Amino acid sequence: MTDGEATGGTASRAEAAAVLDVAFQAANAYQRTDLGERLAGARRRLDDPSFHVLVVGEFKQGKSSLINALLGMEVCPVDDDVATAVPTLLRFSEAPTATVYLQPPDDAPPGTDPTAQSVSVEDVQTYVTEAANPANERRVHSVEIGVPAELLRSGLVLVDTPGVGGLGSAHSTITIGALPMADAVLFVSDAAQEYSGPELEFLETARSLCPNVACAMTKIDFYPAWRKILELDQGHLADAGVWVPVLAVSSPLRVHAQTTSDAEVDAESGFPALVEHLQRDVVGRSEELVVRSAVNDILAVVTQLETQFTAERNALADPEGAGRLVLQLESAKEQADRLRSNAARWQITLNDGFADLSTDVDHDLRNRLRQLTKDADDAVDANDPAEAWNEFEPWLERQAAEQVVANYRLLHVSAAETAARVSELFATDGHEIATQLDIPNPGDVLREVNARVDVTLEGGDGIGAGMTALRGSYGGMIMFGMLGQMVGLALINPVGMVAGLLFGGKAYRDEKNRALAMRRSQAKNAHRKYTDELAFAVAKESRDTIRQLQRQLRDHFSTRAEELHRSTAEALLKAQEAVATSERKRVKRLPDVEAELGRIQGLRAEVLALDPSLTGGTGG
Amino acid sequence: MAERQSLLGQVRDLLNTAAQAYAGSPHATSLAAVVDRMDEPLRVAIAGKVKAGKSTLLNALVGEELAPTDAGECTKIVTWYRDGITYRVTLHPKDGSEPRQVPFSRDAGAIDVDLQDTPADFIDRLVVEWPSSSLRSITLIDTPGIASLSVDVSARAHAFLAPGEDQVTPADAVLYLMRHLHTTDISFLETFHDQEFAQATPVNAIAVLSRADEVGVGRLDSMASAARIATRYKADAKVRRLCQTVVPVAGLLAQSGSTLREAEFKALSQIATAPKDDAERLFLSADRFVQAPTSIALTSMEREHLLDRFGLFGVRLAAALIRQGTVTTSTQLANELVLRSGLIELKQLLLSQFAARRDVLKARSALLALEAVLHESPIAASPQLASELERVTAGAHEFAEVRLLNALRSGAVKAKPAEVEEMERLLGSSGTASWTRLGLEPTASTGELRTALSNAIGRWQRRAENPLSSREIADASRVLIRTCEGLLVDLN
Repeated sequence: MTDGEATGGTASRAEAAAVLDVAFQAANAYQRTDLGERLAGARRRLDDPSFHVLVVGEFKQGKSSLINALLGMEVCPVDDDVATAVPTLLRFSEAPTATVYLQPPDDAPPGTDPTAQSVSVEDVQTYVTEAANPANERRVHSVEIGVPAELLRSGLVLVDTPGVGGLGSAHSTITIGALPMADAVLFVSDAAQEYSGPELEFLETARSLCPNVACAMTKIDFYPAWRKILELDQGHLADAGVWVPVLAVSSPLRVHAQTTSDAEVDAESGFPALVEHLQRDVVGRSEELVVRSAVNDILAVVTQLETQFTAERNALADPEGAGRLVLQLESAKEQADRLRSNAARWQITLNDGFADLSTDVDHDLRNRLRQLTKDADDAVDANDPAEAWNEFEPWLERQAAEQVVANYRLLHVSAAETAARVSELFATDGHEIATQLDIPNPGDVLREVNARVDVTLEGGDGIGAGMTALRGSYGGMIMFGMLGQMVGLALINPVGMVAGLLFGGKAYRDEKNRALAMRRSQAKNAHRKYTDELAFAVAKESRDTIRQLQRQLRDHFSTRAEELHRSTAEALLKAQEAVATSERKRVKRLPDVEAELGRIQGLRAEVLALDPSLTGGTGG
Repeated sequence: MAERQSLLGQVRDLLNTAAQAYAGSPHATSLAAVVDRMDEPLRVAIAGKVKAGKSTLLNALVGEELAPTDAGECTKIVTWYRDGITYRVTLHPKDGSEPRQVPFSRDAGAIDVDLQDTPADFIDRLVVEWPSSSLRSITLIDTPGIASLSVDVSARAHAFLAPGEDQVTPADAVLYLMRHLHTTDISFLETFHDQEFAQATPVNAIAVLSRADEVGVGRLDSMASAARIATRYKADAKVRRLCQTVVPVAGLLAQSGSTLREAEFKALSQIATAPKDDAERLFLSADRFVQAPTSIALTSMEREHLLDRFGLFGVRLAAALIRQGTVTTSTQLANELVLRSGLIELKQLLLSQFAARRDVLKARSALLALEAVLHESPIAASPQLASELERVTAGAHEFAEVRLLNALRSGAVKAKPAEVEEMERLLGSSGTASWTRLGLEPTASTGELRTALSNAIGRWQRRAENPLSSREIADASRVLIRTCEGLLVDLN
């Protein structure tokens, strides 16, 4: 399968781009540069789409080897010991490039973006490996590597994640937080044993957050009983009701097959099936969404161009009725004016909705962290921090991460709801104008708006094009950013007071109790400080996210309102001109306008042909 | 010290007194059982996550394929393997009713117990009595995996290894198997360590990086890699406060090495002497090893058997050893495989760390049992028994050593790394022989040992009296001085 080819009936990106270019020229020829800009944006998304595939799993399952074998080159460092320490993004580039994102220093205001730093590809190892960068002392946030690998040419971005080290750990909670942002998830586990309890739990969660999950079972060259394990795993998945494919693969066999060009070994490696999965089910499906979103943009532009010529044609052809037409257009223009004003219903809903959202999310976070502080106090009171602190620390981090992720999901869901409400209002008000414009299919102008914001969060196949657009606004991977912040907050160890630990006698009991009370109060202070700083960092992060989302939605709908306003204004102008022209000029002009209209309608037919699912509902 | 009664003696006396005080109650019997248990071999539990290779390692330690092993999850019931006069399997029901003997058969060596339709939930444990020299000093306990998909199985393992507050762990020590360190591993090790004796923990646990041959996915240098990883874990603060040390063991290699048959050696030799290309083609993958057509005169079934027993790494290693002429007979190969598997090192550790500390571990288990009884059903004599218990616990130098070792491991005693290392060595963390404790060669003469000991005593004396020493260091120094004095007495 080549990268230009898409499945599911929609046209390829290249075909869509060709039609888009024609529409772009038309828009500029008719002096509608605003519409041209919109198409240019759609063209950029068509040219350079990104489909993120998160490669996750416990450590030492062969995630990095799998990625290397997929790309056919040694990109991710592989080691017998834990190798990958920071998330690594692999995307296409003609020449190898590498960028390291470093966490801002501790004294920088929270929410500061990581600083990018170009490094040579050879040096990447010194940033991402556990050996060269133990416990991430170089404060690397993430690494992005540009790789000239064919597989990535279609816009596929593989994200190699650090092993989640016990799937109940804080790290894995953060990985779960990143799941809704991913287009697909590849869960990697080796054929040494069947799925463990935590692994299956993780898969269930992943399936509910991301519509496209697949499992890869690695190292089938090494474990003779892999078929049995595969069967067991499939049984476990079926029992849990998690319907995801499991692909058995062997990275060494793939590498061997590629160096010796042995097709038989290649088939045994299981990689052809994995590549097909990525291209058909991941790239194919995501590509379809990108194309569909572009088609909607073109269609809206073409329809608006059509509007002004239809108005002119009608005025020219029917001078008697032209007066009525002008009146109608004047009222439409007035409405379009209102739609772009601050008092428009969608504007008010947007502003109010996001103000409420901000308060709700903040309140929710406070509530959650207050409960956590209470739980933590209870835990400290029930134990001696000197003994239990090592256990307590990861527990607290895990709990905190869980709460932050839950809070983040609330933000996500509520934002999507508000966006949907705004879009609906815009569509209702806009539809009225469109009907007055007397255009063949008023829905075309507005439908794209619905598609763009129709965000489906909970699984299903419906992660709309809107998600693709909104995703960019999060500034990449917000959750990975949070991971950095949370790991950065080292807890203060309260085990300073150890007198008495060495003694067992009764004489020391009182002394021991005093010391214990002191340790407990130290421990409480430590965890309070931690939750305080966390609350501060997370609150800032969500406020920024909300503000960014709001701004993006406002810009999006304002631009649409401007376009609509300009289209009505143009149509009105053309109709007024037509009324004012002499009979002779009218007769001369009419065939020209008819011809233009014919061309635009031809273009519309081409656009509709790009997406067969549209032809059912056009009616014109 | 010579005039004082041994720790085990003190504990035994205390327990006998307690048994008399509780005479007539059911606790008297359980306390008597505790006394009996003190004379039994040390009980070592083999624990770990699902499929960590617990049964395989058990077989390797016994030197016989006793415990059944399988690709899927296998062990579901806690099973004890102890030395006995005859071959016998006893089923101990959970409801406390009379244990009964159950029939068993052997399936390719492994014991297949006929449970007679008793559901696993109703079985407390199976006890396999097996005449074997390997089981003479240690009773091995195979446990179901933790983090098993079957919650019941996982819970059974937890109930056994980390029982509730007023119960006593049935094992004196534990070998904890892990493929790689996981969060669940850490939290599990922590639950194994009980409350009052939390200080005594790094003494009774050894972590085993099992399935070490899989670390490098079968490359010949896998064991070296595994050793490197084990060293890293050993230095990890979390691991240090939970177990004595971390050793890599290739369980499958150890098991097959200690049970190698002549026919298998012949088959391996055939692979070793085959043209290199032919062998390489076979080693490409497990599937190919069994199915690929080859000039080597071994049927698919024979090859499958080899793979089953040795794994791809084992076959590759054995073939390389034979080809290079390192080994020429089956006995040599068996020895070499066992040596490379890390089993010998583990056995030595068991001997030096568990067997040599048997008294402390046994005394510890017994005192824990007594404490549980006193806590559960107090009687008139309880306060007196409790204070006696406290006297033994606080007074015994053995426990003081154990507490200091733990304090060092948990980082509660702040000292320079080199100093911590010296303290740990003196306390016997790398072996309880005098020369290891002093960091000397095994050939060191009594005179040399004596000089080293007096030097150490002098040094720690100065440390204890130095006004600038922190209180913990001063306390630690006093414990160490007593340890050295004890060693000096033993020398004389």
